[in-house]
Amino acid sequence: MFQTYGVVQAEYLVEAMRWTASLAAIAMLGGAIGGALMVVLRLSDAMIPRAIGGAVTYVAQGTPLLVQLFLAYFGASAIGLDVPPLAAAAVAFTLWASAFLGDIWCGAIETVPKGQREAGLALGLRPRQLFWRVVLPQAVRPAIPPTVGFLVQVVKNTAIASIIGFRELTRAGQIVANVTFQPMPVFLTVAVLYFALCYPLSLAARLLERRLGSARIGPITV
Amino acid sequence: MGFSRRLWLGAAPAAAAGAAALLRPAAAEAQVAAGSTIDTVVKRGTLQVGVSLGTPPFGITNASMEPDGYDVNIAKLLAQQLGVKLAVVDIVAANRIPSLTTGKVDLVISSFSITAERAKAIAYSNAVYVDQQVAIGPKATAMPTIASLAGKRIGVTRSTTNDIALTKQAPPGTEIQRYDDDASTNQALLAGQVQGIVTSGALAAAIASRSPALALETKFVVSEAPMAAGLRRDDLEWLHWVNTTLFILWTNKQIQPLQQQWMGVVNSELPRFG
Repeated sequence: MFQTYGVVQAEYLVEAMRWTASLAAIAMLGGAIGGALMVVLRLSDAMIPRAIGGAVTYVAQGTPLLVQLFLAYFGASAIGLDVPPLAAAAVAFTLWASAFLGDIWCGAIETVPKGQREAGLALGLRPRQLFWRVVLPQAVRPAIPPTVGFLVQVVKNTAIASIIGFRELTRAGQIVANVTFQPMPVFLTVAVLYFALCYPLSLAARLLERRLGSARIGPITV
Repeated sequence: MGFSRRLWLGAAPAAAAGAAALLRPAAAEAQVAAGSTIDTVVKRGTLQVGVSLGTPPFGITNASMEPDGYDVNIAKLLAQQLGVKLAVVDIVAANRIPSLTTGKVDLVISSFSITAERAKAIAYSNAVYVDQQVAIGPKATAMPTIASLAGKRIGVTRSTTNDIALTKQAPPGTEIQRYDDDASTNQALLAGQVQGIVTSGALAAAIASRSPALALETKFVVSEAPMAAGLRRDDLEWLHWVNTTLFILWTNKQIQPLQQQWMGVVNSELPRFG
């Protein structure tokens, strides 16, 4: 019945890492689209979109991701929808990532000094030109470090999806550890695989930051 | 004031009823339309069974990383009898009841001990195995009786029968450390984070044989519990089929070899409700 940790078990973990990577990719992509939508809503001049954007952000940030997952998985069943674990996890993670990325990006846009806007207006730029040519380029750089930091969080938080039976890296690690009784090598492998997913993200971010830095676009500090 | 108060008092139960209706498993309503689960399963051609695959020897993954173990093999026998394919859904112990009530699975066979508390939420089939809950720990730790747990840190898997038995019987001063699945509970013991754990008798023997360095031994029996398949409460036809089939499998001596293979002991008889 019991096995020794070996190639078959390691392959099983690598297989599970693909599910972790898939869920993280869905959450990042969905979160990027949703986050952009959040920015549009929250920076809107009209009150109702602003209120909706704010409410979504507060609810998504003010409730544990675990609870959101339970609601997406078991709650959907309660209203008659049969959602597989991946779909439930994708919905919950997308909503969660949208709220946080929206918040990060709103914050970055707000760091652009008011004087920049006023100068643009004085030059006769239209609001749209003002946003795309003056505010956004200056908001990108301060947005990168927190965005990447959050994306790394997304990868690691996919482990929570194991609770609804999504067989990702952490759950696979538990299963293998339990059948081999060798937790150390199993979880070391799990840690290495997580690192392999997260480190390239940080690396890419550093490269991006350096490139944007050399272009001399950034908030002007006095 | 009186009016608005009456309105509020009237509204509260209505709101509660509304919320309850909303939260009531839709699966139950779906079944009314589609007939009993047994018809749904046959029509679907697949029997969906919830098993925790992190609970040796009940649910594990074998050398080719396929679901295996005692519970999985019982599920296989049931699917065979029904002439359908088996789909094993990996669930953690704490989600056994929600998975059933929300219609995620047709049946839960996952070292599922029968308790009066759980029987309020779900229905149980007749027993598939009678297990013991035992306390195990290193030989060096003196832990002869339940009373000796006072002042010790004891690990257990959350919301399992082990947890219920330990919580009820542990003397004051016992530090109970709860983990989300057996994998974590076992690791806590192997890593020395707890001085002992309460776990199923079948698992205890396996853990001890796998970690000779710690010299683990069974200290005492905490309780004894028959385990059964869990079903949705309102599905009597399905329950009847499962019980009938378990009876046939037991009298045809198809369950006994599985007990011998996975538990190392065979129950003399499986208790039946009647």
